[in-house]
Amino acid sequence: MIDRIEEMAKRALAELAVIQAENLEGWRLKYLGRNGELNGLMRSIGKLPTEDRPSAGQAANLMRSQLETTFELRCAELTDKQDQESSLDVTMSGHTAMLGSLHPVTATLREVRTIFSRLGFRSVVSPEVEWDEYNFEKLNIPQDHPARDMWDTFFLNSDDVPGSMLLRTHTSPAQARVMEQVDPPIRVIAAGRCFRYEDVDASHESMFHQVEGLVVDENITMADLRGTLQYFVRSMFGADREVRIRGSFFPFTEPSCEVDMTCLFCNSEGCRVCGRTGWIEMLGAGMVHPVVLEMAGYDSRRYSGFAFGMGLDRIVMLRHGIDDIRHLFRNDLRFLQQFV
Amino acid sequence: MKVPMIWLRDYLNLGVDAESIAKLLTNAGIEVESIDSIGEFWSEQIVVGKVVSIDEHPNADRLTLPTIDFGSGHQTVVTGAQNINIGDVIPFAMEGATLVNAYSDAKELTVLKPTRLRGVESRGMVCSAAELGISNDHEGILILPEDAPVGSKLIDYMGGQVLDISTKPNRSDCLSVVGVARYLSGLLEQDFRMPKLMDEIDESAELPDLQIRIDDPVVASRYAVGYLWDVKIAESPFWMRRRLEAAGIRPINNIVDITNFVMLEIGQPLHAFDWDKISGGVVGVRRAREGERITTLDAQERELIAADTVIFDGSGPIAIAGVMGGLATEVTRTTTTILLESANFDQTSIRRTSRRLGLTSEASRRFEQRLSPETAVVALRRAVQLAVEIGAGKGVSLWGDSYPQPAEETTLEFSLSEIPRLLGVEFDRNEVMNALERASLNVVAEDESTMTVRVPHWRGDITRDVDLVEEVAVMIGYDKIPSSLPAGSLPESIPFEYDKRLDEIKDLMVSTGFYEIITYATSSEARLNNLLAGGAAPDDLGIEFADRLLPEEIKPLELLNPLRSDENVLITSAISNALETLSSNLRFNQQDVSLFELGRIFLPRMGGLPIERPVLTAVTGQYVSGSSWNSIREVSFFDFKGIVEVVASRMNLPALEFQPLSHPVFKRGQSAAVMVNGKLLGAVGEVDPNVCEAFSVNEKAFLLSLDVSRLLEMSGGPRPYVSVPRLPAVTQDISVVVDNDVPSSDCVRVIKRAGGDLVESIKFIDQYKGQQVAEGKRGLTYSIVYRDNTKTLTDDEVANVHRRIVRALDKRLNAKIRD
Repeated sequence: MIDRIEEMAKRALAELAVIQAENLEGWRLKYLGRNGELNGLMRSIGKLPTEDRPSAGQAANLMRSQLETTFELRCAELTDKQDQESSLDVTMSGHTAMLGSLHPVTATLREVRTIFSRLGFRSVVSPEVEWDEYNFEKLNIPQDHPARDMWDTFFLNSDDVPGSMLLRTHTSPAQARVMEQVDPPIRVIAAGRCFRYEDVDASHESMFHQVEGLVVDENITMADLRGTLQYFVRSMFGADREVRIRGSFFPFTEPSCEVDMTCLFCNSEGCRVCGRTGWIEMLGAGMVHPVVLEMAGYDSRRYSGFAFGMGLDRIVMLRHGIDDIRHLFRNDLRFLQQFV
Repeated sequence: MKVPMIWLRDYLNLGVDAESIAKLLTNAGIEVESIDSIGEFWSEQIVVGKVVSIDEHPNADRLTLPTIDFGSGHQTVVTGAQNINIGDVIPFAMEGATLVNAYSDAKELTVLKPTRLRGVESRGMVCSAAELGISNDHEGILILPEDAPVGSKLIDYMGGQVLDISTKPNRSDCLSVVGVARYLSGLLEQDFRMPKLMDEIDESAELPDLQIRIDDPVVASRYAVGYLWDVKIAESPFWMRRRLEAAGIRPINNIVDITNFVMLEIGQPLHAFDWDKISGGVVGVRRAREGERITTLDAQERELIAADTVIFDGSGPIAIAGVMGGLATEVTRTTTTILLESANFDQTSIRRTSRRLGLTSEASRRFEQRLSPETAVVALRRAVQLAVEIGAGKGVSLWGDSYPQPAEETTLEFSLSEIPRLLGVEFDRNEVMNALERASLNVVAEDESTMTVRVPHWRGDITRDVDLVEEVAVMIGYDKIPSSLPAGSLPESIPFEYDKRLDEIKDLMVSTGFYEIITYATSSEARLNNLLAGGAAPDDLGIEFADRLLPEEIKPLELLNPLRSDENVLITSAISNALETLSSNLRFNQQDVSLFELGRIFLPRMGGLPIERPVLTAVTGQYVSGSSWNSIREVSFFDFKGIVEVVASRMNLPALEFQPLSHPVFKRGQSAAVMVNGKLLGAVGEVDPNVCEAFSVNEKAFLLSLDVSRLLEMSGGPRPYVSVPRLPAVTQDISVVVDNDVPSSDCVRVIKRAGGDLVESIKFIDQYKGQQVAEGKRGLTYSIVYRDNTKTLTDDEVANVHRRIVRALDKRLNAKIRD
C-alpha cells in the first residue's frame, strides 16, 4: 500500500513540476480532490489488515501534506510568472483622446472676456456690416473728415439701400449701438471681426479681431480707465507688467490715450518685438467724447465714460509668440493642432 | 513729417537729446515713429576739404586731378566731376571712408580703397550728395558754403538727427517745424522764438494793379498774395537745401525752395505763379466748370468736375487749387516777377480732388487738414523775408488779401470741476493755469470755479471744454493720473449673453474632435458657385435649406473696392470656405481632417443691412483617427447625425426629425434635413461627389450645416429634473423584419404608441441586411426598457405589453418578428 502511495506521489510531483498554470486545478482535482487518487487510496486503507492501517494512514497523510505544500508553491511560482508576462510597457504612447481645439483667437478672447467679466463687463455682439453712420458719423467722424484716413475702408455696393454700407473698420460702432439701446450704467465689451482695406503682410491683415470696451455712468474717470486696463494687462500678461498711458487722438474720445505695457520678451530692455522701446502698444482708449454721448441722447454733463479698443490678434500673437498674423486665418491644421 | 533737430533748435533751446525729445512728444500724443540720422555711416575719414589746385589728367580728357587741402595735409585725387573750381569747399573722403555706391541700384555702402584711374593713383575722393547718402543727387560734387571749416569732420559740420513724426489728424499745427517747436516749448517750459517775418505792408513799393476775387466763399475762406520782383532764379543757399533734404524734399531752385521751406516751417502751402504770365490783372478762386480742362505742371491735361476748385485769371483756370499748379503760369529760369499765393481752401474739396486725380502731395495733405486762415499771411511774410534774405528778389508780403469773413477769436469757459470729474484727480489751480499757458492757451478771465481761455488760431482742434481738460492732462502728464476701478452699480439691462451660448456649441464641437477654423467673410461668386456643382434639382427641403444656409438665388453683397478679385463678395454660405479649408488641409494631412466654424453669413436684405446669420459648419474627409494606436476609420452619415443630436441635446432642443434631403451640395440618399417642430434647422450628410471634385477634395467628404439663429431660438432653458427611478426596469430586445422603405423612426413610433407609459426608452441597436432576410427587407433590432414608476412590473405584465407591441408592428408596418 505504501508503495502505491509513494508511486502515486512520485507521479503527481513529476506532473506538477512541468505543469502549466491552466492545468493546476485539474491536477488538484486529480490527486487531492474529493474523488481524487489520494482519497481513493485512503479509502482503500480501510480494507487493509488492522495492523497495517496506522503506518499506511500516516504515510498517506504525510504525502497529502507534501503534495499540498508543493502545489501551493507551484501555484505561487506560476502566478508570478504570469504577472510578469502580462505586465505593461508603460512607456508606450497613450491612446489619443479624440479632442479638437478652439482657434487660438477664440481661446484668447475667452480669456479676455473672463477678465473683464470679473469687473462686471457684459459681452455684446454687433454687426460686421455697418452703416457709415455707425462706423463713423455717430463716432464724431463726419463725412470727408481727414480723420477718416485713419481707417481704410471696404465699401459695399448698396445702390438699393439708403445710406452708405461698409465692413466695419473697428468694433467701435458697438458703442453707438449699445448706447442707442440702453441707458447708463453701461459696462460692456464687444468683440469681433473688423476689416481694413490694406495690404496684407506679417503684421497686417485685411481681416482682424478687436475687443471694444465701453463704460458709461456717473463719475467715470480716466483713473478708472487706467485702473481697468492695468487690471486687464496684469491679469492677462502677469502681475509684473507695468502699464503707461500717453497722449493720442481718436475722434470719439477726449481725452484720448494709448496704453502700453512693458515688453514681455526683453523685460523692457528693448528688443525686436517692442521696436527697442521696451514698451508694447496694447490699445487705444479715452474718455467717451461728449459729442458721442450727446448723439446717443445722454446728458454729457451728468454722464461720463471711457472706451477702449484693442487688437485681439496681436494679443494672441504675443501670448503664443506667433510672428506672422497670416497664420491665424490660414487654418492649417499643423498650426491649429498646436493649441489643443 | 520729418523734423530735423537742427531746424527745431532755431526756435527754442532744446537742452536735451533727440531721444528725450522723442519721448516727450510721443507721450504728449505727437508720436515720433523713429529718429533718423544723417551721416550715420560717416566716419572720421570724411572731412570738409578745399580745392587748392586742379591739374589735367595726363591720359584722360574727362578726368581731372584736384588737390585737396583737408586741414592736416594735401592730397591729389582723380575725379570725373566737372562742377568744381579752385577755392570750392567740398566733402572729402580719405581712404577707408564709408560711402554710398551711387552707381549701383541698391545704393549699398562701400569702403573707399586706393585705386588707379587711367594710370594715376587716387587715394581719396571728392563726394556728391548721393555718395554721402543725403539725397539722390549725383550730378556733381556737393559744394559746401565757403565758410565751412576746412579739416573738420563732415559729421560735425552737417550730420544730424531727424525726428520722423506721425501727426494725428487733429493736430495739423504740428505739420510744421514751428508748430512742433511751439508745442515742444510748452512741454519743455522753454521760450519759443518765431522766425523772422517781413512786415506786411511796404508803403514805398510800387505795385502793379491786381484784383483778387473769391467767387465762392465756401471753397476758399481766404486768398492772400505776395509779390516778388527783380527775381533771379538760382540755386538756393546751402543751408536751405540741406534742411529741405533733411526733411525729405528735393531742392529745385530758390523760389520753389522757399515755398517748400515755408510750407515745412510754417505749415502753410504756398504756390508761386509767374506774374508776367497771368493775364487780366486778376486772380481768383471758384468752383471748376464741369468738363473744364487745364494742363498741370506735370504736362498732363486734366479734365475737371464741378466739385473741384480752381484758381483763375483773366484767361481761365491757372491752377487746381491746393492740388497742382498749371503749366502755363509755371515759374521758369526766365521768371522775374512772382505772384505768391497763400490761401485757405475748403478741406473737403481738396481732399476729394486730390483723391480723384491721384495727386496727393505734402501741400494737399496740409490743405485737407484744418489750416488756420491766419497762418496764410504769416507764411507770406516769412516767404518774402526769406526771398529778400537769400537774394532771390525784392518783395512785398501782402500785396492783396481777400478774407470775406475773418475768423473770430475763440474763447472757452471751462469749469475747473471738469478736471476731477473726467480725470479722477484734482490739480492745484496754479498748476492748471500753468499747464494751459504752456499749451499757448492764455487764461483771460477766471473766478472761483471757472477759467476763460483764449484759444490760439492754430489750435482749431480745441472747441470744447473737454479739449482743455485733455491739454491740461497732457501738459501735466498722463502719468499723474491715478488708477482706480469704476464704482457704481453693475448694469442689469443687457440681457442675453449671446456669445456665451455660441461658446457652448464650440466646446461641444471641440470635445467631439473638431478643430475650430476662422475663415474670411469674403469670397467670390465663382467660388461660392462651386457649391452648385452637384447640379441636381433640390426638393422642397433642399430649397428651404438653400434659403437659409446657402442662398444660391440671392446675389451676394459686393465690395466696391475689393483687395483681390476672388475676395469681392460677402459670403452667403459658410460651406465653400469650409470645403476649401478641408481641401487645402487634406493636401498636407493624409487623413483625419475634422474642422468646424461658427461664423456668420451675410444675406442681403432690401433697404437694410444684411442679415448676419450665425451658422455652424463642420466638415471631415473620408477618414478620421480612432482613439487607439494607428486606428483609422471611415466616417459615416451617422457620425455626423450623432453630432447634430448631441448639439441639440446640449442646447435642450425639442425632438429632432431627420428627413431625406435632395440638394446639390449633398449626396442624395446619404444626407438628411434636420427638422425641429417642423422647421428646418440645417442639413447633414455626405457631400455630393461633383461638389467634392469642384473643391479638389479627392475622397468622400461629410458636412453639417446648422442655422444657429434657429438653434438659439428653439433652445430650451435649463432642463427640469426628472426623478431618478426607484423601481427596477425590465429590458427586452425586439428584432423585426421590415420592408427597406419603412423608416426606423416609424418602428419607434409604433413601439412607443403600442407600449404606452410602460415604455421608458427605446434604443436602436442594429440593422441587418443579408441572406437571413428576404430581398428588399431588413432586420431592425431595438432594446426596449419597460418600467412602471408606481410598482414593480411582473413578468406577465411585461409579456403582455411586449406582445401588444409585436402585434402593432405587424399590423401597422407589416413588421415580422425575426427569430
